[in-house]
This record gives sequence, C-alpha cells and structure tokens, in this order.
Amino acid sequence: MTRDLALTSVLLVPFLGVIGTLLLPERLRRPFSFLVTTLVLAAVGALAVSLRDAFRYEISGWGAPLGIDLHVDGLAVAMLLLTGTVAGAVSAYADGHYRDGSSQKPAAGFWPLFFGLWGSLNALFLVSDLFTMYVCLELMTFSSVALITLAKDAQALRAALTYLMTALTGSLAYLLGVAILYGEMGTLDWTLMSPVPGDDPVAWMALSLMTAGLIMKGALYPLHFWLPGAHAIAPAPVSALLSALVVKAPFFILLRLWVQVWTDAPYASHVLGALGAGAIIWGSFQAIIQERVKLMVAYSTVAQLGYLFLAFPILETAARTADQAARQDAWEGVIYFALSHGVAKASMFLVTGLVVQATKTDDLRSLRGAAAHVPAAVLVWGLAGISLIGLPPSGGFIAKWQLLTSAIRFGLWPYAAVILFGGLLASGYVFRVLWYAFLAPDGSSAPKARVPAVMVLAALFLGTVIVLMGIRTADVFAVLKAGSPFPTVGAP
Amino acid sequence: MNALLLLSSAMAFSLAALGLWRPAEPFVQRIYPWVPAPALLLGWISSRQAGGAESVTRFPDLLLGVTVGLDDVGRAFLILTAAIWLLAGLYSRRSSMSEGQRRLFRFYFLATYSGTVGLTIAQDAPTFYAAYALMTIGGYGLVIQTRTQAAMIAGRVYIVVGLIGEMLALAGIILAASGSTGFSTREIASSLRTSPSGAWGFWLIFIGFGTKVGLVPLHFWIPRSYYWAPLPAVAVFSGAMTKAGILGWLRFLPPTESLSDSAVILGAGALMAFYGVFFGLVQTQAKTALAFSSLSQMGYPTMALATLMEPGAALERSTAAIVGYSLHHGITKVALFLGLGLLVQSRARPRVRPFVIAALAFCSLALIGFPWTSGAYAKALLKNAGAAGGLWQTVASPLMTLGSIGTTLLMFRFLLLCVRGDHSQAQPARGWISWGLSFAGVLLGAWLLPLSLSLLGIEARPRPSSTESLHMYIPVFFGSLLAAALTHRIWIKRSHLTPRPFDTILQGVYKAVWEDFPRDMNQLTTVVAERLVQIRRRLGIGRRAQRAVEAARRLHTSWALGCALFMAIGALLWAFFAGGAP
Amino acid sequence: MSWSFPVPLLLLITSFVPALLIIMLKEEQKLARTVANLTGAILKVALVAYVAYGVRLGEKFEARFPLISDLEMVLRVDDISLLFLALSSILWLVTTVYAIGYLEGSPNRSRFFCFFSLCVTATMGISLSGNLITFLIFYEMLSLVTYPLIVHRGTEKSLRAGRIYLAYTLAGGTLLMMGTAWVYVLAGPVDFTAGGSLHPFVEGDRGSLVAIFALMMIGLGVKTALVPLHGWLPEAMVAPAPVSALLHAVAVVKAGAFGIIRVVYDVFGAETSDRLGVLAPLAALASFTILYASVRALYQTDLKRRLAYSTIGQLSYIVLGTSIAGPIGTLGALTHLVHQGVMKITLFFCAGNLAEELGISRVDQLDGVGWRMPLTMAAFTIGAFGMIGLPPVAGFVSKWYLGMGAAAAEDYFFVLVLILSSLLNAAYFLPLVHAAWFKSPSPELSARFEARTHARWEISLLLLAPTMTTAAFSLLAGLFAASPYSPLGLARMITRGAYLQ
Repeated sequence: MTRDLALTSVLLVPFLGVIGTLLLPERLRRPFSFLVTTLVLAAVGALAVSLRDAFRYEISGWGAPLGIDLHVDGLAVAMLLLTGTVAGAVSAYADGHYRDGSSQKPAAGFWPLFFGLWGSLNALFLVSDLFTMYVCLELMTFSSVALITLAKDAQALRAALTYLMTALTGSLAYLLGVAILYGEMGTLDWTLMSPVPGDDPVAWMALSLMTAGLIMKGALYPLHFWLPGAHAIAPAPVSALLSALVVKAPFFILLRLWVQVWTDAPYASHVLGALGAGAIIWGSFQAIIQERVKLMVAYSTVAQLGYLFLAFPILETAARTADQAARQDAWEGVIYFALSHGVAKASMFLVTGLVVQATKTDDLRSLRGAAAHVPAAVLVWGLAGISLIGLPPSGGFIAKWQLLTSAIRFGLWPYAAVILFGGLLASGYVFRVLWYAFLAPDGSSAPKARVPAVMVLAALFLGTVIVLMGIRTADVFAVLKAGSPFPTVGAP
Repeated sequence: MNALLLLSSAMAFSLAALGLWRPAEPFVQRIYPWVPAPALLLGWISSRQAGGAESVTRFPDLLLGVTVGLDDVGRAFLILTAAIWLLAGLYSRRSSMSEGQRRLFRFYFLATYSGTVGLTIAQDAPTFYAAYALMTIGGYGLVIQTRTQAAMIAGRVYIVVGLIGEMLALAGIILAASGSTGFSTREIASSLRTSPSGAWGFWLIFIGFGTKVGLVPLHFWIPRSYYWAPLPAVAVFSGAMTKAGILGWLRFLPPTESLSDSAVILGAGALMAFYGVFFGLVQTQAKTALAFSSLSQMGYPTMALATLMEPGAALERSTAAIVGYSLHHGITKVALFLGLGLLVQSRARPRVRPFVIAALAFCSLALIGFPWTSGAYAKALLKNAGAAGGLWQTVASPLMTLGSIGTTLLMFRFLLLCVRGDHSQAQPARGWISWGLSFAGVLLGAWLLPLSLSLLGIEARPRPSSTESLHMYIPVFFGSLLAAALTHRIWIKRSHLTPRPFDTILQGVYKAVWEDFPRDMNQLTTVVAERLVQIRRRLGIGRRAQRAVEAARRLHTSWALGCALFMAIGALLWAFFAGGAP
Repeated sequence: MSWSFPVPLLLLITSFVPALLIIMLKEEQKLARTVANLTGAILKVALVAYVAYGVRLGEKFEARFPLISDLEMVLRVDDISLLFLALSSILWLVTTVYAIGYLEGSPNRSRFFCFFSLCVTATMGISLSGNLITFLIFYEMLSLVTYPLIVHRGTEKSLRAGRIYLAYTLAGGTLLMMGTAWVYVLAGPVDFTAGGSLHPFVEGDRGSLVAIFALMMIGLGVKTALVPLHGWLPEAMVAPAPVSALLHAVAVVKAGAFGIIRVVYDVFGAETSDRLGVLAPLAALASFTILYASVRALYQTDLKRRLAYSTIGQLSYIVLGTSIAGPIGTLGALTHLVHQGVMKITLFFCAGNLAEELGISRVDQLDGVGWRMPLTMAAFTIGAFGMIGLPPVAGFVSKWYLGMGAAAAEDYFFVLVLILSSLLNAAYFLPLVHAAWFKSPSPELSARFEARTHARWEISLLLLAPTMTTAAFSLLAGLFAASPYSPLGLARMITRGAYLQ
C-alpha cells in the first residue's frame, strides 16, 4: 500500500510545489519549497526501499488506452534516485545562491520552474507509453529553457533560443516517429510492444526518426552545438540540473527503446557507438583547450555523454550472446555510468558556481591559489574529476570497469581503447584546473569574497555521494537487479 | 677461544672509532700499538693446544652465519699479521706526525688491522669478504695519509683497483656459492671443482685476490701507493696485506689437478718476479726500489700456488712452501722498510749509520736467499714443492737461479740508493726497539723459520739443510756482485727512466670519464634544447593549431549546419536499419 | 583470538582517520596535528607487530567486501604483504617525525599531513590487497594522493613535475586497468594464490596471456621506473625532502616493484611466466635499466637527482631478482625490497638535512661537510656503502642472494650486470663520501658552515634522530641478516612458502 502512495506522491507532489511556490507570498516560499523537496525525497526513498520486482500501476484505476500506466522497474527507480539526489543538492545550493544579496536575479522565478522540471522528469522515468513520454519531454524542455533565461542577459536569451529551436525539432521528429510506430504497432505502450520486425521499411523510418530526434535532444556529438552555449551561460544550479539530468532523459528513452523493444538492429547501434566515440574525443579535446571553467565543464558533459552512447553497441552485442550474467553486467555498467556521471557533473557545476561566486569571474587564471582559499571546493572538484576520469574511489571507476570488461568480453576492442583513452583525456582538463588551484597565490589575484556555508555543504554532500558510490556499490546494484531486461537466474 | 679472537678484531675497530672522540684520544694513543698483542698471544696458545685441533665456533645470526676458527694455515697468517702490526704500530707511535695526521692514521691503522685479523680467522665466505672489504677501505686511509695532491691520486688508483679486485672476487665466490651447499670456505672451494661455472669462479677469485698480491696487469697501484704511504703503513701493506691475498687463494682455490691451470699461474708468478726486478733496477728512490722488490718477491708464492694445482701435487709441501715463503718475506720486508726510516734518522747520528747499513745489507742477503738465512730455507722449501717429475720440478732450478740473480742486482741497487740516493718520502723515526725486534727475526731466520713451521703443524719433508744449496749460490752471488760493481756508474746517471705506462693510461681514462665527457654531454643537451625551441617558434605550430581549432568550433555552433547534420544522421540510421534486414 | 572487526581494515583506518582529522585542523593547531599523526603511526606499527606475531602463529587475517557482481575487495595479510607492511609502517613513523621537523613554519601543513597519511593508507592497501582489483584500486589512489604532495610547494617547477608525474602514472594506471579487466574476463575473479592461477590458460590463449603480461608490466613499470618510463622520478625530486624520502624510497616506487612481484608470483605463477617466456625480456629490460640509470647518475650534479637515478637502478634489482627463475632470486628480490627502502630513505634524509641546514643541494658543495655535520654524513656513508654492496651494511646481503640466484639459474650475464653496477654505484657514491670526509671546504662553503641553527646538535633533533634510526636499521639488517626476524629471515619464510607448497 505504501508503495502506491509513494508512487503517486513522487508524481504529484512536485506539481503541487509548482502551484504552491507561484501562489504563496515571498515569506512562505522558502519553507514551502523546503517541505516539498523533503516530501518528494522521502517518497523516492520509500519507493527504492520497497521495490522488489518490476510492477505495473494504473493511475486511478483506469485501463491502458484511457489512463496512464506506470511501469516501475530497477532502471526507473535508479533514475528517480539520481534525480532526487541531484535536485536535493541543487535546491540546497540554490537556496544559498539566491538568498545571498550579491546575485541580482530574483529567486521568485527559480522555484516553480525547478519543481516543474523535477516533476516532468519523475513522470518521464515512470510512464510506460511513448506519447506520455513525449508530453513529459516537452514539459521538461520548456521548464529548462525558461530556467536558462533566468540569467537575464542577451547572451543567455540567444543560447536559450537556440536550445529551444533544436529541442523542438528533436521533439517533433520524435512525435512523428511515435505516430508512425503507433500506426504500425497499434499500441503506444512500449512494454507491450512486440519486437519490431526487422524487414519493414516503414518501421525503420519510425525508428530512425525517433532516434535522430532523441540524439538531437540528448546532444550527441555532431548535434551537440547547442549544449556548451546553453549550459555555460545558465547560473550554476541551473547548469547542474541541465547537465546532470535533462540530457539524461532522451538517453533514458533511447535505452528503453533500443534495449527492450527492438533487439535485432546489429549495425545501427554501431552508428551510435561511432558517434559516441567521436563525442568523447572531440568533447575532451575542446574541454582541454577552453579558457573559461564553465565552458570546460559543459564540453566535458558532451564528452561523457559519448560514453553513454557507447553502451548501445555493447548492449546490442550483449543481447545476441547467450550468457545472461554478462548481459546483466553490461546493463548495470551503463546505468551505473549514467548515475555516477550525473552526480559528478552536478557537483562539478556547483563547485564552478562556488568559485565564480568567490572570484567574480570564471576565467581559469583567476583560480590561482584557490586551493588555499576555498579548499573544500577544490576537494570536491578533485573527487568529481576522479569520477569522470574513472579512478578508484569513485562510482565512475566501477562504471568504467563494467563497461571495459563487457567491451573486452564481447571482443569490441576499439570501444575498449576509446574508454581507456577517454579517461586520460578527461584527466587532461581536470588536472589543468587543479594546476591553477594548487599554484601558490601571487599578489595580483583579486580579493576573494566569502561563500555561504550551505552552498559548500551541498557540494560536499555530492562529493561524499560520489565516493560512496565507489565503495558501497552492492546496494545500488541490488536496486538495478529488480526487473532488469536480462533477469539473471540468481537475481533477488 | 675463537670467540675471543673475533672479539679482539671487533674491539680493534671499536677502539679505532673511540680514537676519534676527543676526550678518549690520549688513552687510545697510548695503547693503540699494543692492540695486536692479544691476537698474537691467542694464536700462539691455540698452536700449543692439543696439536692445534681444528675448533670452529658458529654465530648463526650474525651477517650470513659467521663461522670463526683457526686451522694451520690460518694460524700461521694470524701470527704473522699480528706480529707485523705490532712492530709497525710501535714504530709508528714514535714516527714524526702532526696531531691531526696522527688521529686519522690511528683510526685507519686500527680499522685495517681489524679487517686483516678478521680475514685470517674467518671460515666462511661472507665474513672473509666482509673483513677483506674493511681491510681495503681502511688501507685507503693509510695511503692518503700525507694528504698531498699526488697522494690523493695514488689513493684513488688504490681504491679503484681494490674495488675492482673485490668485485671480481665476490663474483667468483657467488658463482661458487650458488652451487655449494653452505657458505663455508671449504664447501665453496670444493664446489668450484664440481659446479659447471667452476672455471669462471676459479679465475675470477684468482684475479680478484691477485690484485692485492700484485698480479702484473693489476699491480700498478703498488709502487704508487707504497711511495706515498708513510713507512709503517708500507710495512703493513707489503708485510701483511699482500699475504691476505695469498690467504684468499689458499682458502678458496681448490687443487684442480690441471696442468694448464698450474702453467698459467706459474707464468703469472714468473712474470711478477722478473717485472718487479726489471722496473726496480731503474728506480731513483730506495723506497720505490724496495716496493718493486716486494712486487717481485710476491711472484714466488704465486709459483708455489702453481705447484699446488699440478696433477698429483703434494699438498703439504706446496702449502708449506707458500706459508714459509710468506712468513720469510713478511718479516724481512718489515725489517727493510722500518730500517729505511731509521737510516734517514741516523743521518743525524753518523756513528750509528754504518750499523744500520750493515743490517740492511744482511736483510737484503736474506731476501736474495743467501745460505744460512731464512731466505735460503724458504727457497729450498719452494724448490722441492712441486709433484715428482711435474712441470715445476723441470723448470724450478733455472727459474730460481735467474730469480736470485735478478734479486741480487735489485738489492745491490737498493743498497746503493740507501747510501747515495735521496730519501724524500722516507719519514725519519726513532722506532729503534721495534726495528731491533724485526731485525732479530731476520737474523735468526734460518733457525726461527723451520722451527715455527713445524710448531704450527705445517710439516715440510725433513728440513733441507741450509748448507745443501751452498755450492749453487756462491758463484751466482759473486758473479752478479762483480757485474753490478762494474756497471753501477752507468745506472746512477741513466736512472731517469721511470715506468709510467699504466699510470698515464689510467690518468687519461679518468680525465676522459670524469671531466671531458660530462662537459660535452651538458653542452650537447643545451644545444639540442635551443634548436628545438627555434624550430617550434619558426613553424609557429602553436598559433596555426589555435586558429584551426577556433574555425572548427565556430563552424560547429552554426544553426544551419546543425539541421543538415540532423537530416544526415536520420538517413544514415535508416540505411543501417535497412542494412540490418536479412 | 578472533576479532569481530577485521584487522586488515583496522590497519587502513589507523592512517585514514588521522587524515580526516588533520584536514579539519587549522594551520595553527600544530600540537593537535602532531598528536594525530604520531598516534596513528605508533598505533599502526603496534598493529603490524601484532599481525606479524599472529601470522607467525599461523592465524589468518582477512576481510572481504562485495564490490561488483562477483568481484570482491579482499584485504588479506600473508607473508609477502607482511614484509611490505612492516617496511612502510616503520618508515612512515620515522618519516612523520622527520616531516614535522622539516616543515617547521612552512604553509599548508594540514593539507600536507592529510595527503601524507592518505598516501600511507594507499600503500597499506596495496600491501594488504588480496586480489588484482583491490591492488588496482589502491594503486590508482596512490597516484592521486601523491600529486598534492609533489606540488606542495606550489612553485612553477613543482607543478611542472606534478604534471609529468601524473601523465606517467595515470597512463600506467590505465594500462594496468586494461590488463586487470582482461584477466578478469579471461579467468574470472582471481585471488593472489601462492603458485599463481593462470596456468590452465597457457595452452589455450597464449597470445592474450603474453599481451596481458606486457600491459601489466608497462602499467607497473611506470612506478618501478623501468627505463623508458622513468622520466617522472628525477623530475619529482622538486618535492620537499620527506616526500621524496617516503615516496621515492618506500611508498610509490615500492608499490610498482611489489606489484611486479605479486603479478609474476601470485597471478601468473613463476612456472607459468617461465613457460610463457616473458621473464627473459623483463630481465633484459631490468638489466638495461640498472646500467643506464647508474651511468646517468654519474653525471648528475644535483644530489637529489643523483639519488633519484640511483633509486631507478636499485629498483630494477628487485625486478631482476623477480625475473630470474628459482627461489634464491626471489629471496634476493624480496630482501632488496626492504633493504633498498631503508638505505635509500637514509640517503634522502641526509640530503634533506644538508639542504635544510646548509642549503647545499649540489654534489660539488659537499667538500668537508663531514666535519661540520659528522652524524648526518656518517649515516650518508653507511647508506652509500650499503648501496655499493659492501658488508656489513644491508645492501651486501641482498646483492649476495641476487648474485647467487643469477648464478644458480646459469645466467652469468646477470652476475656481470650486478658486478658492473656495483662498480658504477661505487663510482657515483664514493666521490661524495670522499669529498665529505677528505676534502677541505672552499672559503664560500666554510662561511656557510658557520651559521649553526642548533648549538649542541648539528641539526634539530627531529631531523637527526630519524636519519640515525634508519642508518642503524640498515646496519642491523645487514649485521643480523641471518636471524629469523630480519628482513632476510622473513623473505626466506616467504620463498619457502611460495616454492615448496
């Protein structure tokens, strides 16, 4: 019983939060948003703990064609957990960010959009039919575009417009694909969809349209041009949300479709793999030569997304092998990578915000001597960097290990090489920042402003989450095992 | 008993260290010459004990399992070393040295002593090697005692050759030890015969310890070091430390019963003997002449070692020959070197001078092997050492006669230089008592040597009477004396020819390796670095790459290209989906 | 007496908790920081002693934590790990005392000591690791944690050294990860077992085994500074003395050598790697490194860089010993692991003392230093003699067994290499000792000798005492080598275990 209550509250409470923060007077807004955040977090926690096996839930009892059905399995709950953690940390950070007098942006606009984004994401991860996914996707895009415009300067508007245009194109392509698929399959519920017949040209059209649209929205390599501008301009908490969560939604849908719906597309997955490898190389290279920290982190997002898209060829070849355990490993590795990248990227953007707040500019040279001034920020940057590079005490290492072993097991040597080389490239830009941070401060650097404690605490919280994900891996895997597409014999 | 011996060697080293501590200096200064006395006493007592039964005590935890004990050969060398160090110690206490020099001399004297004594009582390879290394390092301090530039170079030559010799010996020992069950010298010697790498091990050990004895190609440190070291140190070097090399041979080289081995060693011994004589004759200083004479005298025990290797060799007779000759040479050489110091001292008191010269003459006679001296007995032992009808028996008499002729000429040269030559490096000293004791040893040598050999249990065949070879030496002796008298006028004038072939080579190598090569290398690296920087700047690699990347980035963010790419990827995906169809 | 709390984890905590405590402390809280440091160090040494006693009685110490699907993090104390545990815990205590003395009054000490303790935690982890994945995790953490120590001074040069260090070690780490993943795919989660566990695969996929071995050797070779991969070590000499003492004599470089020993003996197994024929090229590379590093050391004018090149040479002894087939070679390698650590840390301490007291860092400034700082130079002489391999210092014992191992395996070339390198060691160490004791100082130098920071002792006791203790260790380890409690005794116990099971 509690499971259903938790499920409904996960969906509805954020939208209540949107209405509440819009209507309530200034004074009450902060405690109210605090209350809503804790409620949603509690619900997600309850759901994760109570999850035994994948189950289906019709909202308010209506059947499939009319009502909206929810399909709750390990992957969905994991993404919910990720969204919860990142949103929780960002809300704490934003509270400090906007309360501090220095930032000229009024807090009013942030909270409603924040909860709108959170609600749409939660819904997207849970619904089982493609059309509702489209609706959530649009809702998410509008709230994130509006969040970008909070930066209130001309550049932010131009970046937001570019983002809006590309996102709309992507969504329309996705909608067209869904419509064609509906004509073919007669149902929109991906759990009920039978595997797509391989030789039907109309089905190919639908699939390629949907995939291209989602790639555009997920900023995969050649179509990533809108991301750096948008993420670098937005204020720190917003860019954290964008990089950690918003780009993951299209990937989530692609993962659902490619792994659980159409299984016999052996060559197409390698297109995605090749584009992913390109993303890693180009993104990292661009990140290394950037002069502004926020742009660097944005390009690093482009690079790390490449890793995610490497997963498709690996999972594709995994699907064709008989060894269930190996497929389960690959599947868990991909999701773990998404989770660890989310947390690491969010903490990196929060830390960048801290540094910008302290030194008033995000130019790399102004970071000189930051290790002495804001040690906690540099420590969290280090931890996040370690996770991106894939070094031990972090979640990133476990994910990289899983991907690497799966790549080797299925003989995909080029992808294994790219995974390893990507790590080295990532260390290029991570340690470039540390270079300046550890440099002894000479007289010239500007006097550093004091940074509110709650913002540092938020970053530290994410830092500890990164390390915990590197050590306490068993619990997260337990969640992932529930309802995985490759049920291993011994699965709990 | 053996534990006491090891204790005495360790005590010597700790006393040396104590000597450096300022408050304890007067106490150490007073007793340091008497440090060898207990070892001498213990050696003598052990020879009297129940026929000197072979007792070995083991300290399993020390180093790699230290075993200490005395066998006949070890006891003989122990007594010889202790006696020589005692005499040299007493002599050095009376010799003129500045306060700082005295403190350092004392430290290195005692350190080298503890190494040399440790050497004689060590029964296992690691301890032997440890003592040998300590002796070599300590010897360095003695060589550079005067601290002049030339002494420093001599010290460097000494330590380089010493280390090379040590490393070669260590390699040989390791090769042998890998095949043998344990590390005791006897096991290693026997494994040299059996293990496949035996030949390598044999020759490495022979050459390694040979550097200390003075094998010719590696001998060039001897004249240089003896020349610059103070007299007591030189007495110790020639008397005791060369014998350490010989003890190393006796401990580790098994009788290999092979004609080729004994022939090679015989050749090396003969080469040493005649090389020493030839270059000794052209010396302008008494001290260096004596140094070359000890180099040539060391050739004879090497020949005796060759007899040990002959097929069917009589082991006791060869060992007796080696030990006998070492004892004789040790005592005589100490008497000669210390006598040289007194000769310089006696310039001030002309009355004593003729007596000193007479004594030196007698010691020279002993060295030549004149009848009724210990030299004659030692040479006799050497003559009948080889196997019946073996290689040594055939070649012994001509070799020995040539040898004695050479030595006679060399010693005559030495006496001439004593009388007329300059003694810049022979420091005067008033060590009359210690010199008197050593001269007594030489004087009574003919009687003392055979007695001590039999007491030490090194049984030679019934003692050859010292008169027996009388008929053979007298004509040789007088003939060479006559020749020397006739031509001595020529020698004195043409004596500028000093042997410097090896030293110059070494100097050249040293200068090249240490000074020239690093300078050129540093220049090379700086030039290459500058060239690289120029090339980079001229090509402007940095700027061009920057512009290219900027252009690519702008291209990427344009909206129109975005849509085009979007269409292309959609089509690509469609094609691949089609490609997937069966 | 079985503890409920796994002892190996306790070993890690004794240096992890102080690290967390110290990072909290402000710069001024000197006493609190020293107390945290020293209690952690002393507790660790006591624990290692307890563990050593326990292992001697045959007690098993093991802690397993689930990591990924069937892979576990295993922390286990066996003979080989005991050797490395003892070495790093004792030397960490000594170096902590030294660091406290050395960094008196310099900035960011809290940060320094925090990463210093983290570095030792990583080293403990490496020695305790029971399988390849645990080893990899701690191996990579070690590279990360040592970076802030190298760049501690924050100067342009030290950051450049830090960058080079990271470039090498991260690349090495990636290759090692590739090797480890490949082994996992090939043979599943494999623990370190005495005879190695890859022998069933020799016939089947010989090629991939050789590739794995090569990848691992390059990965580990970076930290062992085998020749093509040694560039970072001389550069990292810019770090303060305690860092170069602990890192480049004990923690970092030994992690690489220890890794090679683990991989060759406990993953592949001596016989398998012999059959694969991979040991010969490794031995050849090690020999080349020994000679190359010794020759390069001859021409270094900076004292610490010369010590760095000497470390590169000495490390390859361990690799050479490992790659020579047969128990004696292993015995030599294991003993040299400990002996070289103790001797080299003494030399680095002396270099630190000279730099701290007299501001000397070049080789030609050593004339007559012996009489101004007798105790430090005496320790330096003991260390130098040990490096050359003169008895009774510890270096002789390990060179003796390495030589015997080579001779027993009939590789006379390696005996020649050992002898040649001993002479080269003499060639670049003896001139220093000679200059210190036998030369008189130039006027400019003697002016420098006048400034005395301490009336009674030649340098503050905090710097002198550690140097003396490590010098005494290297002397005792050599003098009482044959006793069962000496490093040689411990190594003998290991080789008996590894070969006769």
